[in-house]
Amino acid sequence: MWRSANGADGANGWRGKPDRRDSNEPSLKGTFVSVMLLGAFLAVTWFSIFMLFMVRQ
Amino acid sequence: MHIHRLEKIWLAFGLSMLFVFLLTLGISAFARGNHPPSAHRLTVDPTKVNETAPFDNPGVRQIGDNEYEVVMTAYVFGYKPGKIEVPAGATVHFTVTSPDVVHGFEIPGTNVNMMVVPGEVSHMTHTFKKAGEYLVLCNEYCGIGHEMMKTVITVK
Repeated sequence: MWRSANGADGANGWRGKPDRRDSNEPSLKGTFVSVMLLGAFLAVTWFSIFMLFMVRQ
Repeated sequence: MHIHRLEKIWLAFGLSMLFVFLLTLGISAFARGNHPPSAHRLTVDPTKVNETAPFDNPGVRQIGDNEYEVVMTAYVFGYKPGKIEVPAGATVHFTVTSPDVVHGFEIPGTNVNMMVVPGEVSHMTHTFKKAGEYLVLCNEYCGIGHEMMKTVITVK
């Protein structure tokens, strides 16, 4: 939590804009790995079926 | 709006995949002319197939330099003409219809695989690069003799 500039804390309260990567942001590493694995699976199956189509032409 | 850095990466990945797939589809359809076998408006009266040209005289016709048109009917339980011979390297345009029920027209190991629907004329083009015997079979259940329904294309 960051505090407002006109709060009761005076000089120590306001520290400017909060850091974007503060501890409140959830970690999406697991989601990222899952999404990329799914994406890789889709890309690999799509290209293998496409190559099969091209070879059989 | 704040988007997480990792979220940006997977969105970009997904969008570029979609772009590549659609681009491939577009090139295949518009530049190379790949269409489904039913992509036209040709119809024929299914009760008069054997009297309607060109199906009144099914067979192989040479239409160009090593290019052939094969007019066929798929019926219960066979294909007319029963014997097809083309030279190796021939490009064959198949024009097929059915006078009775729905049939299949598949040449295993190639991209030729279409549904033959009574009243509709199906088209497919294939280049037979290698010599050999190519099996044509029905892959739509059409009745008691379905498993007997086949023919052979001989490529010399």
